Amino acid sequence: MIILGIDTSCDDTSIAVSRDRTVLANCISSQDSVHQEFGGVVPMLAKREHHANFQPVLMQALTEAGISIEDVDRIAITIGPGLAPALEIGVELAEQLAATHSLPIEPIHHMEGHLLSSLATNQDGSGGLDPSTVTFPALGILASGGHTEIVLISDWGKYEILGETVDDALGEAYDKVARMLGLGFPGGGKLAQLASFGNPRAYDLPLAMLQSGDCNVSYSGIKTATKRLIYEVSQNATQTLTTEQTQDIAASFQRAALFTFLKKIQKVLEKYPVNNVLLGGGVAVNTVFQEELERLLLPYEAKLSKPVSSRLCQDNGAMIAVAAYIHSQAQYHLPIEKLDRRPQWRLDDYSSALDFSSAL
Amino acid sequence: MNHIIFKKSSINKAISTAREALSAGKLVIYPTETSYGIAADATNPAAIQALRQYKGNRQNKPFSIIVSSRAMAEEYVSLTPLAAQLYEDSLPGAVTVISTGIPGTVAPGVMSENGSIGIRIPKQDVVLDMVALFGKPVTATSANPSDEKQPYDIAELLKSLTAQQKELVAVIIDAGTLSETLPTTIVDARGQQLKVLRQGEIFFDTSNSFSSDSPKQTIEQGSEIIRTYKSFWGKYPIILALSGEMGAGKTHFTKGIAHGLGIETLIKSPSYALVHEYTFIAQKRQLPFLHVDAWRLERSADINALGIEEALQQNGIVALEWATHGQALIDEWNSTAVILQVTLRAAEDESKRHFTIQASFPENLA
Repeated sequence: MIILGIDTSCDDTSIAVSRDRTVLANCISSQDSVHQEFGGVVPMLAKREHHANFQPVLMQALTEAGISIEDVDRIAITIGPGLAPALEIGVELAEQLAATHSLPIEPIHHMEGHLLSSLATNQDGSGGLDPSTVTFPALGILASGGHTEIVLISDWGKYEILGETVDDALGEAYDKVARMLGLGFPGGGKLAQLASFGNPRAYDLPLAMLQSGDCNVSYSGIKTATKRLIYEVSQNATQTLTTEQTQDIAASFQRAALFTFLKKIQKVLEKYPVNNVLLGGGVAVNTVFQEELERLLLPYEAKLSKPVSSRLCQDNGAMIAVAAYIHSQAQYHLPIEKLDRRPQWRLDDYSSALDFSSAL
Repeated sequence: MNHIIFKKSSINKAISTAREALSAGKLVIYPTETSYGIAADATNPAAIQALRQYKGNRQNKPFSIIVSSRAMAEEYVSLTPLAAQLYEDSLPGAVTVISTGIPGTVAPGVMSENGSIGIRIPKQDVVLDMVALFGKPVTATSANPSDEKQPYDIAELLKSLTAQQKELVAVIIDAGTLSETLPTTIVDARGQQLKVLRQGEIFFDTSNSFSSDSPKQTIEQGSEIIRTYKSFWGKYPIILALSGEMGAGKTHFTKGIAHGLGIETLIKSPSYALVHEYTFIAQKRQLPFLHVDAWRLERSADINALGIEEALQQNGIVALEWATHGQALIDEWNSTAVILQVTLRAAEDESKRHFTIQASFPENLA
């Protein structure tokens, strides 16, 4: 089955083509510079920008995949959560495309895309977690600029959020601390790089929420404490930080930020014996996080699966296409009267609205 | 029930009938310059009990009272110099002034749990004459049962009452359909600085300063502040323009705003998604509450793409973090929306926060 996956949940216009769960093309507007005049780091949030991007990104995706639109069997579209005007234009254009070519259109929850992104395989069919080998319950770890969630997967489509951030997302905390250190935006990736050269025990930062009793995390306290730390280390902002100081602050921040999240993941593992842990979202590319997670999972004998490419960790269309493939295999779909955007939409609310009696 | 149509010729009859009813512990509905109010003898426990029954669900909320003069007020509360000045400048008028009550002077439940009493001297002669003749204060609460809208018309009010509620009312002084105004402004005049607890018909030029010792307290204060403007919910668009450095407590403050609006969803930072949309209920309608974070917007014009205008056009509420990135939008709504400029600042001390709030109101009000 050839699936066209579309995601316009936030800054990027992303369109991908998959054959079942094999990614044939995965185009992202800001990465592929199809519209150089709008390109760069500016968020593509205006409707007209998604509108302008749509056709060129679609063409590029079809070309890269080596197919024509007539070969497509269905369209999968993110209808939420995300930025309302951005979602709206994506839904509208996907619907027009589906009508023009008489294609079925499958609504997908953006976070289900991230959750299932490790199932995607490379173009040659290599890599990717084989869904038939997954045993339930499995665990989903989602961490990005907009989300931080620990999800219990009791079956495909059956999701329960066991823990989440109560304020800032993990990726957001990275980006904000990066900006405080003058690393630009989004600088979370750079921050993680610097951290690998620093001493994670150079400075003590608070470990929030450890006593909260639940599996939620909070990053606003760590963020504020890091800000104060930068102020102190720079002698009340009178001196420029040395490279070593910057690296040590980055490493200490990373240690504190990851420590609480890992502790909460451990808490879940104690309660739910799982064999499979699926990692998704932008923070999944952080190698320290991956290593720490691997180490945490070792005694529980759980297998960590992560997306085969960094592009699959960002907001992208391929994960949406793969989610639609899983829908068809596991025979479930979201029953809706009218295709409409849902900017504020929890994964567990989506899950409980699914119809498990048939595929679309 | 004695339904008296209020005319010049009926004024004496209205007042004397009302006085009789009040003396007997009954309830009287009367017109004021804001809406219709309901009077019970504020010194009679049985009358207050009857009023609670009439109003329904209001837990332990105290009742403000009406007096006919400052001299009468001083029999029940002690006035600070600030309060005395207010009586001089703003009363009679649509202001309720909170002062420290004199214990034992009013029936239980009239005074708040912390010992304060709200006092009002309405700009409505029939009420002032009624209270003067009665010689004791009466309750100032609006005549609608709790959870119903402010009453401006007797026929409409009667429609919302049950038979039992009607039973409790002895006299209605009907002055026809009153013009719909905001309720009284409630101010706390116990300290050295005036604190507006509910913004209503009358505007005071106050810049309120607060401080908070914990994130929890910041949330509580956010909640308290939006409730101060409850009379405006759904009637006017409201913009909370939040400024302050990273870590100053803007998101916690917004959690409080949402809590105050009765939104139970977990409020998370919208930095990445730029805007999170919730709904709250006011004027019996579902209205949008937008939590916007302009932090990562590179171009200020991008703020126009976030659906803020649409929310404001519906008289929704917008909490805008990094408000300096949205100054053009705020300027544009300056004459039509309630704008609360909230500045948050982290103190040297780890957990302490200071904030100030400056309110501005639509041109047709202020």
